[in-house]
Amino acid sequence: MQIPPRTRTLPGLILAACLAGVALPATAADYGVQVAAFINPDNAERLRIRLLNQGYEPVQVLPLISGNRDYSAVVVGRLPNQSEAAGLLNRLRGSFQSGFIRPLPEPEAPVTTAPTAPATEEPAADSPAVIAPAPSRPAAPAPENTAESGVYQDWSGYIALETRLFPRDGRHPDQHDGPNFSLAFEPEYYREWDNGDQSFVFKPFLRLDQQDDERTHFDIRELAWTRAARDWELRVGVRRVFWGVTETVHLVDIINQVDLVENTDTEDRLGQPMINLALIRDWGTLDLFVLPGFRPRTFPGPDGRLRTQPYVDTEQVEYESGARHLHTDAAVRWSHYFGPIDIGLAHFRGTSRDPDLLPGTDGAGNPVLTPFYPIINQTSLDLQATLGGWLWKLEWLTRGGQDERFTAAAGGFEYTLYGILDSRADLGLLAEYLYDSRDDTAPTLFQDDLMLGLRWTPNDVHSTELLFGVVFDEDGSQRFYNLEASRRFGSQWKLSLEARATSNLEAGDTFGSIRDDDYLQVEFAYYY
Amino acid sequence: MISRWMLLILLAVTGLPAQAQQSPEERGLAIAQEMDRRDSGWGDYTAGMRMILRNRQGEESIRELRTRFLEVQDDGDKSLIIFDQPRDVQGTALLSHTHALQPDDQWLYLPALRRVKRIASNNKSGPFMGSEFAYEDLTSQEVEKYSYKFLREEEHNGRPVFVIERYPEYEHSGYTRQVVWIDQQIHQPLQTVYHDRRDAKLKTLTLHGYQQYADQYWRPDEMYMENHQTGKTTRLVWSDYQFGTGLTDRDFDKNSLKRAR
Repeated sequence: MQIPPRTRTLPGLILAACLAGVALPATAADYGVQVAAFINPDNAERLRIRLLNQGYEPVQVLPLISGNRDYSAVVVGRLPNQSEAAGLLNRLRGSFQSGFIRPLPEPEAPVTTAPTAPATEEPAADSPAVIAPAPSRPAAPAPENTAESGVYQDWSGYIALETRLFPRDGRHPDQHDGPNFSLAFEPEYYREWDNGDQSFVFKPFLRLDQQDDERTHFDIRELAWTRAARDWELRVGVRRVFWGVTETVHLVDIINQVDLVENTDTEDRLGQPMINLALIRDWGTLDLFVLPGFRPRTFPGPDGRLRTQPYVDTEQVEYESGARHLHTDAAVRWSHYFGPIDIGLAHFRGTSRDPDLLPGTDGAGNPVLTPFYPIINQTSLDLQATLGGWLWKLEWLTRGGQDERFTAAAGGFEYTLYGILDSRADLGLLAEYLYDSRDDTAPTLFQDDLMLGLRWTPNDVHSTELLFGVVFDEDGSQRFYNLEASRRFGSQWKLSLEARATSNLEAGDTFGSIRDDDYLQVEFAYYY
Repeated sequence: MISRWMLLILLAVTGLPAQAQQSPEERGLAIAQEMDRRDSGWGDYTAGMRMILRNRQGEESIRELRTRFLEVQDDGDKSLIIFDQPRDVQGTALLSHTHALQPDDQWLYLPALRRVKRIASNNKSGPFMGSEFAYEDLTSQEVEKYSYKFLREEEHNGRPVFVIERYPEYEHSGYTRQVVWIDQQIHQPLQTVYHDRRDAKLKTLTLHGYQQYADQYWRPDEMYMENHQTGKTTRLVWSDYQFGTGLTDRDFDKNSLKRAR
């Protein structure tokens, strides 16, 4: 039972790097890969025979002294230069994670001192417990994938193919009917240096949509630099900041604009330029935000589904502020936790992320809605109490500057039953009440509604998850159904399903225009 | 009467070592305390972790994580676990402030939304990342978490061991008892047998390749968990242990969770 040699662990590489950079003598010598060092020479001899049987040649056992102890080092190969030795090291990596390149002595001239600590005792996979007082390993920087000290960098991301299936035709003739395909790509580059105290992240996002030109869009989700110190952090650039605790709505999450063309769940957000200083003290974390520049919300175009009727013309944006989208907004948030309570208190002053949608006409005289962004003052609270299997949640806000001052709240619980029916699976029961003081005039689906939901987590190797919820309005007639599920295939593929449906919505209701836009979404994503 | 007198005389004559007067419970506790004493003072360390999950059909699934630990005096330790593989959960991080008997404080960072979520911590017996390890198998083993009973001394794979039984004192454990084979020389477990809530044998953990770090602290290179009821196994391979890396409380707060990669 051997570890499949897929990705490599780092100590060997670091050791190799140390050797390559520091300890190698300048004289021309042959190189080999030291795969292990043993106190008991019999063990070294056994490994030598095993490697010879596996076809490696030559394999030598060399004496080695380190930390006042005698070792028998097992060294594979005799190669004229380091790059050839590196090739051999690559082949051996799967079985010997702490292998490293070392110079070889001239034949018949045994090594008496080691240039560095030997690789540690390698327990055979099926052997009984091996206890070896190994020498202390050389100090190396925290997990790196470059030899440069304190630097870590990583490219990751995903590419996803999405299909949305609409069983019914769109209500407006401009809207597309039938399935829609689209492609999303979100790479991410991350670099960390200064032993993790400084980092840089770049995360662009691109979606190509078959039908809706407005949904085909590019955004810089993140492009930011972070500097962390003992009691503060400074974060500058385009970033995503999440506030909040509830599942149905994200009331208090105000820093980033909603990328509505992505999904109606408002969890996808546009990157927001900011300077964010966090003061980290005994009394909690105080986040100060300066937000230069505003991102208007994205809306589906005339061809798109899941849109208002008439559609929102994003070419005709109006602002309360004379500075329009260049208005600098500001926010402050204090967050802390006391035992089981996590709390956040925030105030935001600036351009509302939620536009008022005003009737207008496009160039051809057709009716459209035009977004208007007022300046608002919003104070908000988010609170969670984590008590045993119960998560009690509350989000609350009061906003002035947009119509009359109003309040909105969402609160409820998630209770999890662990290992239901003697299985590995967990079942979560969710209930959230959604309130908005604007009543029926609120530009939200949720003003006096109740959400009941289930979350099923089988805790399997595929990380399968399923979340189902129904939002009922106050008299229970209008319903909004939501299903989200995902499962991993292999180590890099993920299948996600999403189904949304409404019932009993009328044309005159706030979101009556989407009453024929029930859909099933299937997404297949490749992560790297 | 006679036997009692004889016992007293025997004790007086032979001067048995102190441990003979200990009850099995006292001796079990003393062994646990000695394990704890020898493993105290490490301050902080980091390590890489690779999990190889294998089902009865032999299908394998790989997890790669990085771990950071901070020792906390008079309380449970703090830990930060960062997921590297599989790639769809890359960047997910779990912060735990553990406590001996009180529920742990745990936060999960979900990188897709940049969201930090406080999670319920009474799920101690659930599978960790779909593996055969439960969270409670991996968390810090404070003395107060169990009551103990010494069973016997014996040889295990040629090494003298203490065999003790321990009973979880914290709530929501998935076990009635654990039988632990402890190496007498290094005071580290070599094997643990877990019995489920019905006291049926559930899992066996074996620990391999102990190495000493910072001239004192022993850590295994490999932990192998076998579930006897399902036939599934998880091999957990540790790498790149680094002690004394200078981590502080600040590296284990909610702000650091958002920065963890």
